[in-house]
Amino acid sequence: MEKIPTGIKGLDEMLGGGLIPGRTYLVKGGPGAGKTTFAIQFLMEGVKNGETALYVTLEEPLETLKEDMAKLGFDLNNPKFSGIDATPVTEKKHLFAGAFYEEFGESFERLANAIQEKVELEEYQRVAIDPLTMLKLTVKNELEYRKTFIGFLKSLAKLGATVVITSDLRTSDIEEYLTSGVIELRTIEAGGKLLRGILVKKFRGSPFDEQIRPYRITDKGIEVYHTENLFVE
Amino acid sequence: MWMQTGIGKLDILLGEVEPGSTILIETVGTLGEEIAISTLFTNRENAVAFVTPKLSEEFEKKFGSEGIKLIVLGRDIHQQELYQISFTFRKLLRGSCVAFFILHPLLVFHPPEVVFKLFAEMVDITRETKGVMIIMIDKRLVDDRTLAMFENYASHIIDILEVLEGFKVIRGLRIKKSPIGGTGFYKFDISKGKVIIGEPLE
Repeated sequence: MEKIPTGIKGLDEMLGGGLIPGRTYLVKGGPGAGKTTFAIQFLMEGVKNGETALYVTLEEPLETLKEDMAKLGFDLNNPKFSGIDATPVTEKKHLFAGAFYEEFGESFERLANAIQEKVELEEYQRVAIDPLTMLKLTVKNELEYRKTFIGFLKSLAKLGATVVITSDLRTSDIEEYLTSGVIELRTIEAGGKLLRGILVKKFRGSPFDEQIRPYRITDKGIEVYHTENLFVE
Repeated sequence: MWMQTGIGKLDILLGEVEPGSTILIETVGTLGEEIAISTLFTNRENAVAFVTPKLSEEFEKKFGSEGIKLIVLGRDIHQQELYQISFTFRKLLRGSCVAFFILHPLLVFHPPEVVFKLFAEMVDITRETKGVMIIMIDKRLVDDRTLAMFENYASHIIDILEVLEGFKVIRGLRIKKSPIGGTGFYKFDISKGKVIIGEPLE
């Protein structure tokens, strides 16, 4: 089975080589767990291999992100990398052709359509949407959210790209159920120090390492110790 | 090739220490660390020690320019991040490497069951890499049940005991477990940094 590397060597070992291309994956974790770093690392691995990548940011402004990621050695000004800044704005600004952030908040369909339009103009092999949380919080009705999320995933599937969606929601049952794989980034405090563990909760179509493994956020990005255990109670 | 401690009588009592073996030194405080020092010195071309900052100073004094590789807990590795210990251990323990590890500082930070998990992992790494591990544990920091768990995983156990008879301190050493069987207690002393194993104790 074809697999594509995530850019995180230890995680690729856990996944038996990487992610299955053309599918959508959920990366979940609390604040500071490294979800954005994960998303960028995933995209830049593609860029490194000559692929094109699209990053949709819904929380952190793209310019700030470019500065932060440059410190980790990721050049987001690479022509093969495209970023879409869909972060909240104080004044209404056009984000995609004629669409406003508030409008994305009202419906996933608008976001999906905007991404689809972008992808039709240029073919992307890797897409990251970071994070989904902002959109979910703006949809009041749970049933409506579920319906639109399913539609959103269907539209993503048509793109043919491998998609990573991040979320910092503690309860994300529907997202976990509907995506092809779930990777959880956990943080645990032990003896006054923060320990980080990565867990592959679900990976459809392939065997995977079910053990939680330690990881660190280093000056080169996320580093997973796939041979080690976290050693916590 | 069997590993030797450099202490003649102890090598006889221990029997063959084959690659992949784990020697557990059960002691009181750091009594008997000289056994580890002697073993590391005897095998200094390929030795590594995971030690506290205090022990690292003593080791540096002892080994000088012939220094072995020292990994200092709390400096090179955080005691809270036990996976860093197993990761470093896995990287360093290759071939006939002899490693020394002191469990005391970890037992202060973690419950004994968690430290045992790390120990079990290190025993497996030692077996896989055909190294030899000497590991020291203060018996007072764990209960009998936990100590029994540690003992099950070790291939050799050196038991050091210190008892008071009035104002007199009597120290004894026995081989509690080895492929050739155990022994009774022998008089045990340290003089000028040298380990002296005397006559059997009654």
